[in-house]
Amino acid sequence: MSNSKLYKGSLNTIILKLLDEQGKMYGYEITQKVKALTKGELQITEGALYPALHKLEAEGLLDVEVAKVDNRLRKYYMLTEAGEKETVNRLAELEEFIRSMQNLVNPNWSIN
Amino acid sequence: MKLSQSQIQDIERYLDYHELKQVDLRVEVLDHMAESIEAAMENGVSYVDAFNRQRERWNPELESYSSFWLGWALSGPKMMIKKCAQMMRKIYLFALLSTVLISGILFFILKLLPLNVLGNTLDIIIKILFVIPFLVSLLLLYKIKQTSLKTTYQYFYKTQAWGWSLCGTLFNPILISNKPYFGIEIRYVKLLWPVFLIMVCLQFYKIYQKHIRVIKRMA
Repeated sequence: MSNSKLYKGSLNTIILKLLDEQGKMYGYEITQKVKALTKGELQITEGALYPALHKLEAEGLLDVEVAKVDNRLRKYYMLTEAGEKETVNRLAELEEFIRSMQNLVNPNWSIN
Repeated sequence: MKLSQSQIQDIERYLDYHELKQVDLRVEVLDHMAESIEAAMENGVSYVDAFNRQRERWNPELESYSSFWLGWALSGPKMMIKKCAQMMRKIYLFALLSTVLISGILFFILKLLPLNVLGNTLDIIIKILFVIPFLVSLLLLYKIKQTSLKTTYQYFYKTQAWGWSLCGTLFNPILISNKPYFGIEIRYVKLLWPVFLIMVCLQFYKIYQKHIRVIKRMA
């Protein structure tokens, strides 16, 4: 994918935002949701997704729940209280970044 | 289309081949691979092709890998070693910063005390400071070995904490010298090593707690 580098810095925010909306999700589900929302533009690789999830968990922003689904165990991730607050902050930062980029690249265009 | 038990076992064997035994990661990878294969099969791809495609995707994440932070001699699945290396970096950073701060506070407190009277008492405290982390890490190593499931935290503890407590004992100035550690004048530098050791061991205790939390989750 040509523009994956542009998304890379926002991966953690994307994960937090999705979990904020969906409540709890598992790894594969996150990759598919992102793929669907971006119409295939962004495909998160396993090598990027799991380190990001583990880092967010280590930072105390995500909690984990394990459930038996079909014939295997599944790890669900969900936001902690600190994660919910951090999501608001990071989304605000991301929106600010998008606005700044918009001003730099095309001041006449608006996302709203 | 759900995978059969024998197809799940194919994935288990693939993970065994790459020595991904740590249950916290293994569960996740197995589920991800199984879901991907099931989705491909629903789109008409054969099980064998879908499985091979998944193996190609996961091979780079599971290939044998070493890290400077854990020691080059240790190797394991890349995603597990990278997770451990990240933990190690965090521990060093926390331990270094807290050591500088706590040693500084201790130094100024000890400066106010009459060291000619308290010199021996301080030596006893330092002896305890050196012995406690060693004993605690020994106890936790025993306890962590007793747990049935392997986790990333267990691997990390077994390969790193043990070395650290041994290092703390071997470089214990009380063991290698008969002279009083502090003497008649307190020195900031002399506080650094025992405090750093305590800080590192505190972090390892947290790692032990995380291991226990994963075990409880999986039960």
